[in-house]
Amino acid sequence: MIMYLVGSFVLYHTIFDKRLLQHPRYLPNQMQLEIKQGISAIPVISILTVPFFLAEIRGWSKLYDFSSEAPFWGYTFLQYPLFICFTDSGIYWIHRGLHHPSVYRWLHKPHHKWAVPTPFASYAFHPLDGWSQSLPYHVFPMLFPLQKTAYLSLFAFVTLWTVLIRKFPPPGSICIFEG
Amino acid sequence: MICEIHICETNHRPNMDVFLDVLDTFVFDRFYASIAPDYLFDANNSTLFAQDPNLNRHVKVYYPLEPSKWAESSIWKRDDLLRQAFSLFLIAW
Repeated sequence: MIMYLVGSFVLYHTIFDKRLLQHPRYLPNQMQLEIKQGISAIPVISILTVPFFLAEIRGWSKLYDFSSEAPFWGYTFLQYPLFICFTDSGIYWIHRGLHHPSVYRWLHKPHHKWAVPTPFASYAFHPLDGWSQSLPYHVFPMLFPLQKTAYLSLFAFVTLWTVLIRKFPPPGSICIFEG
Repeated sequence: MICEIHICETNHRPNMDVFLDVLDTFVFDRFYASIAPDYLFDANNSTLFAQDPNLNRHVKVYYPLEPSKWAESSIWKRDDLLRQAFSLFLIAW
């Protein structure tokens, strides 16, 4: 929660382009609405995530400490692309599922309401929506071995990646206007 | 023109076992000892008892962090599932 508020605050005052606040699709009081939605979602996401943390600290995951414990020699390097492929395709399919007409309106539309999102939209989800998109990160170390230091650096990497692709979308990516 | 790519932020901190050892040592042991004290393991007399060598075993492989004198002075012990769940919930917040 503190990280969400402080992080979004810092991003808002640094890399966020404030001209977007004048955009015609920017809703009145949008930032307050985003923060309200984020603050109400985070406790529920936290409760839903506790089982994965519990599994991790009680040793039911396949996390390990040192590369000497890797299943085979090359795995120390292989785990990085494996993690990225697994989580990225996992999120792709979950996100695609969220856009299915049977759930989109109540589950995922609240997040796409922000056609011109500020940094505070990063947690402005329906709680189940936000939680479901974090699932691949928690499921991976249950299914595949993963070194703890690799987990830490991968976490830093995907967070930075998420911010960067939003700020600087790759050329050729589709520009979406939601109805 | 707004280009939106939807990869969403996720609310997780990795390496919870190591992280929880550290937070237990500096925050939670004292917190639980004050709300649910175990008078058999009074922190001021804790030198009478040998501390469980399993305390801080997750962080110790990286750094020799010794548990504080409060480590076992709550009736809510570190390996209690509900205590762990509650601590993790507070962390996730």
